[in-house]
Amino acid sequence: MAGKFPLWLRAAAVILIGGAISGCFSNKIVAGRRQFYAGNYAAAGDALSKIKDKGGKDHILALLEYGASEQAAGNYKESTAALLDANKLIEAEVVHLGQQAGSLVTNKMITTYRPESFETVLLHTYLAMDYMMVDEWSDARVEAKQALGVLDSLDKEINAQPFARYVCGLAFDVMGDQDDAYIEYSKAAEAAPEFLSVYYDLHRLASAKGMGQEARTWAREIEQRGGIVPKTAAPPNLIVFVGAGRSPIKKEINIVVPPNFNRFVVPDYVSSRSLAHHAVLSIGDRNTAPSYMITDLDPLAEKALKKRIAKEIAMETARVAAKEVIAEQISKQNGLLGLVVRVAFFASEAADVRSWQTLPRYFGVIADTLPPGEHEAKVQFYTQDGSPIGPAQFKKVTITEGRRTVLIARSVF
Amino acid sequence: MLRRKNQYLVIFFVLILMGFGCRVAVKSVNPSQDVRYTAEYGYTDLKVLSAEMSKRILASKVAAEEKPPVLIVFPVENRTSEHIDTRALSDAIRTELFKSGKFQFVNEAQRKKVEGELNYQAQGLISPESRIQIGKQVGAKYMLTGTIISISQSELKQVRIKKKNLRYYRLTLEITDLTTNLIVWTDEQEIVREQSRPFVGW
Repeated sequence: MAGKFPLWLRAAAVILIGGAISGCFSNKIVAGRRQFYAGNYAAAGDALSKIKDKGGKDHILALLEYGASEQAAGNYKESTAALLDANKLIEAEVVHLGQQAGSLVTNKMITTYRPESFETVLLHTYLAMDYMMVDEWSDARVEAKQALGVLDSLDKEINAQPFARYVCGLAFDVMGDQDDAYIEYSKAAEAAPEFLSVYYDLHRLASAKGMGQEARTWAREIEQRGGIVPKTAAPPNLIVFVGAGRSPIKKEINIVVPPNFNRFVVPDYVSSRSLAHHAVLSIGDRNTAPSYMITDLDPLAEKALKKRIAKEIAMETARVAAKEVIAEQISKQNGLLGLVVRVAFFASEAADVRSWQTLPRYFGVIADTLPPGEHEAKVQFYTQDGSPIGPAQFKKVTITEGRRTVLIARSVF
Repeated sequence: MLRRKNQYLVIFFVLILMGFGCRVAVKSVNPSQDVRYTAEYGYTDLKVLSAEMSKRILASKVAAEEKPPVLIVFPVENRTSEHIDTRALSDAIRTELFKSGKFQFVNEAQRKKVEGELNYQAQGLISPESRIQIGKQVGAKYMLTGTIISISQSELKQVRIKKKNLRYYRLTLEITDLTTNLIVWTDEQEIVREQSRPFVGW
């Protein structure tokens, strides 16, 4: 029976079977995410640690999910190591012809996962945050530069990422690169005009650099938003990075085209729900102003996908056409086998719906100034109507004279 | 029969080749040998930069002082977009200078440990005759500091099977006289490297 078919047809069948097997998404990644969204960050890290070094097409994704879980669990060194590994793989990644050829007769899920552009920016942002948490500001600046390298290569509609810009600005600011910090803070303010604390940073830097006109402009912006222009130019010494909700996830859009029932699939993002609207930092019985959620990943993910959807559709069309040619050739030689192949092709079609899902939907910042010494900080997330959501997070804070202290607070709600 | 024999031969050779491919290979490499797998900063750069800059410091007026001056070496500031262990670079330069005998060094990196040890000795557990006397440390006359920067350029996105990437590194070192705050010596060393990386592979 096999001898009746040319070699390329048999090879296609092998690729089809192999592809269908390897296209399965790793259950351990799913298990890790489930733990993460149950609030068990350490357990999520444990689940993901079992696959983070196993290689394969989802290796980068496993490292990203692991890195984010370890960061949420407070294991910054482990998070850093995993995210650096992920970055190395992303930088070294090539287009695998074998995978691409295989994907033509199966689906794109068999190819190596490549993050969306905004995810790559956030990879460097997360690394910068990890370094800040262990007080390695020089390395945080290295990551800030890498994040900006990616950000500045993107089109305008997706390079306005105020949270990433603020983190970069902070790294530059602490390292004494006032010009770079000023530029990034300005861009963060431009993209998130209601982000009050960044105007304080801009006012402080403009004053320090002797830019009187600009300092007055930023002072006006502070007053317009109900803030009080400070008399001294001291930066805030406590920064809390806030993440809330779940990142948008990809779903599959199916289109079946008669007469041969060819199935076209393309990915699309689904809005994720985030009940947490803002967070409040409390030190003792003093509450800070609510956090500003300055980046919403939902529209950002949508725009990033939209930028490359034409390429996705072209690839999908080529895939469907290739499958149709193969099915047609087999049908001519054996009708029943042709039907079986068509059914297999139909069933094997799947959009690449992989994405970094332990990212939050919203990113925000709280900035405060505390006296030197030990403090007990409480971060509580609230819904839009002001009801507390999720347990309050208590963190020990040590404030040292002349140094910036950073905290990370993550809510899965 | 002959055909089957050939098939067995092919399988045999494939298995042998697979065996070679899977073998772990370890070999020692001469540290002076220029080995690079990527265009990024590597150990060869550490060696080249430290050797070249030490040579230039040793040729400076500061090194020609009659009594070896006391130098404090601070880690080079990393202003690149790569994670570079710049303390290793400073340490390598210090080692080269130390070997020349033309400088003396205060131990900047171990100050906290030194302070801790002196505090321990001052607690009274150490016999008075072996206890280190406080206030006898030597102050540095000069300070060695520096920065390393990098600039990276990539070819624009086009349909091609290889992508070129250009990396430029510049190490600048300076010696400051701590009495006058004047820079008494400064120099720089550059490295430019081009990498060509394939876009496609198997």
